[in-house]
Amino acid sequence: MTKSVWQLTKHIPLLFMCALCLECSRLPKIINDGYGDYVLVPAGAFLMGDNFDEGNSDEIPVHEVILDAYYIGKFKITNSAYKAFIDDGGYNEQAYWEAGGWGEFGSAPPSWNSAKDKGGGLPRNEAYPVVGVSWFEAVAYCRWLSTKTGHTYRLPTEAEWEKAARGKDQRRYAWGDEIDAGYANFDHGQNRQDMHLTPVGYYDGSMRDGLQTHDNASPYGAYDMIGNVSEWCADWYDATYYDRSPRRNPTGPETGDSRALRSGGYVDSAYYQRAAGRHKMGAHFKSYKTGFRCIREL
Amino acid sequence: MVRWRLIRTMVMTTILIFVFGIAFLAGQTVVNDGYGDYVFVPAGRFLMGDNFDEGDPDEVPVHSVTLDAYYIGKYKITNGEYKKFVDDGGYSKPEYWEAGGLGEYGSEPRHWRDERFHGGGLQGNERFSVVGVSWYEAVAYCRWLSARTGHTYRLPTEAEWEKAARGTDQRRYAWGDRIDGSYANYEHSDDPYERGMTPVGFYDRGVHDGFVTHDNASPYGAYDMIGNVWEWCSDWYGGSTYYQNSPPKNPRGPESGSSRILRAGGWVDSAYYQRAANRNSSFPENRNPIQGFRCVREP
Repeated sequence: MTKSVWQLTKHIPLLFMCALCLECSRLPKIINDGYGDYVLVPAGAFLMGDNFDEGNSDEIPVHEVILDAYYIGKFKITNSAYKAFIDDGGYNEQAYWEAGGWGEFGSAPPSWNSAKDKGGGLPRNEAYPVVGVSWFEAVAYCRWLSTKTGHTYRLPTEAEWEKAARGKDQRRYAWGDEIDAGYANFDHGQNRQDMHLTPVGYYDGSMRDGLQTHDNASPYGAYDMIGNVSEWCADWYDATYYDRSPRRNPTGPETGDSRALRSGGYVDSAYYQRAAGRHKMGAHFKSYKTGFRCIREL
Repeated sequence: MVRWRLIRTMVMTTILIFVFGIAFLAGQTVVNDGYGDYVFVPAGRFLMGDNFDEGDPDEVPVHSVTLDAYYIGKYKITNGEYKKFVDDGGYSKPEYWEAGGLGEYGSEPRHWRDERFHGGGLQGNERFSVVGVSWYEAVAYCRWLSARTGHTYRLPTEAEWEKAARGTDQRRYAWGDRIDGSYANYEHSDDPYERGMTPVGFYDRGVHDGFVTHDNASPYGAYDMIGNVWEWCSDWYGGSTYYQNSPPKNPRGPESGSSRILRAGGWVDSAYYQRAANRNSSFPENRNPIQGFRCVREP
């Protein structure tokens, strides 16, 4: 009897692993609550930071981070998705707004009717990512979406964003280590006037406007994690955070003066598109090259 | 005795007036304290900012700035020059370091032994710009240089940098309004060092490995003000509104901030970021392979 119990104990790690696998396989790879596809990023560890030793000092040291499972938006939030929030009175519902953001941003992004910025207020721009949104507007959208669906949507933490973008094998970009114009919308040496936003899902392996695109999905199936527009993250930004960040589910420093951004924009060169690259901006600021995507908790 | 002193003073004054006279007339006077050439930027006014209305919101309004005279490094600081500071124990002398910098950066720049970035700790990289230096290391180098020479060396202010780069005629780059790969090292400029740095002084109208260059000297004779690696300036970055209320005489940037100014554009950056009016910034602790610096020498 004692012996058999002992033998069972020996197998606890194995049983635990099985349970974990069952748990994972139980979770659908893609989930859709009626507001777009969200792809599963399973629980587990990954190595975060600039393993190529080529980036800024805020990207090192490379460190192990363990995250719970989550779903991340397959695409950045589009104008049409954001329009549903506007039309539903999202700008007038205080419950959606983080302190300091309520009533500060009018009733739509400033570029909403700008042709150059593919504004969502103009026809045929539905599939472009929303830009010109502050961190507060991105947060408000997530809260509105949570209310509509009954699930928790929120901005990704920097760690969640980076794992969703590059997986666990320390690749430089979402698809591998090399980048060219077929993979992502970025500054690859073309003239400034030839740089434009692309609609979400543009880089799917098909021929577009004479350009042979490659499928730029990350290891978990999230698209456009690299390029087109930068994405707001939930965290405050701190250049030295990696020196002291917790190993499990890091959520950024307690406070700060800027919020973290990830992904380069369409006017930024390859150096700024690296998945380990970190950017920042004041939470109230808006940019023609900044948007966001959401996380859906399990 | 007194008379002798008087005569000496008069002679010295005459020499000084002569020297400055020449400087004003020629506008290209070079001074060298044994640590590289510094070119003269005469006192006077220039128009700072993006007169082409093509840049970012922080580059406007265009505004008149009047500066005292100064000398600026003919080149960015090279590995060969920086190595003297390293070898002289510069990293461990507290007097060279701005508060918060001492002891934070080991004993040499980041990438110092990385061939990808022409690290100065490796043979044959003496003529490449030093990179992988924080703002603190750049400041420490200037202070060390001051101690060695008895003259005041420091980082340029942003205004000093821009005037030294484009002069007083509002040109877009150091040499004129148009850029191509024969003038500067930037993204897709197709130089023989594509996807990496060029050595300082590469753009001198010479033909290097079959690659034809133009002379990229600024109106005052400073080279490589555009491209290759970004250069630290002394100022804090004050966001997009600083030009709206900066002082018209010798502006030194806002009182405080979280980022320091960078100018010039790097080899990874496109032509847009190479414009002399373009402004960039980074947190002062940042060390990466696209950031270096050059110094100003006070007259």
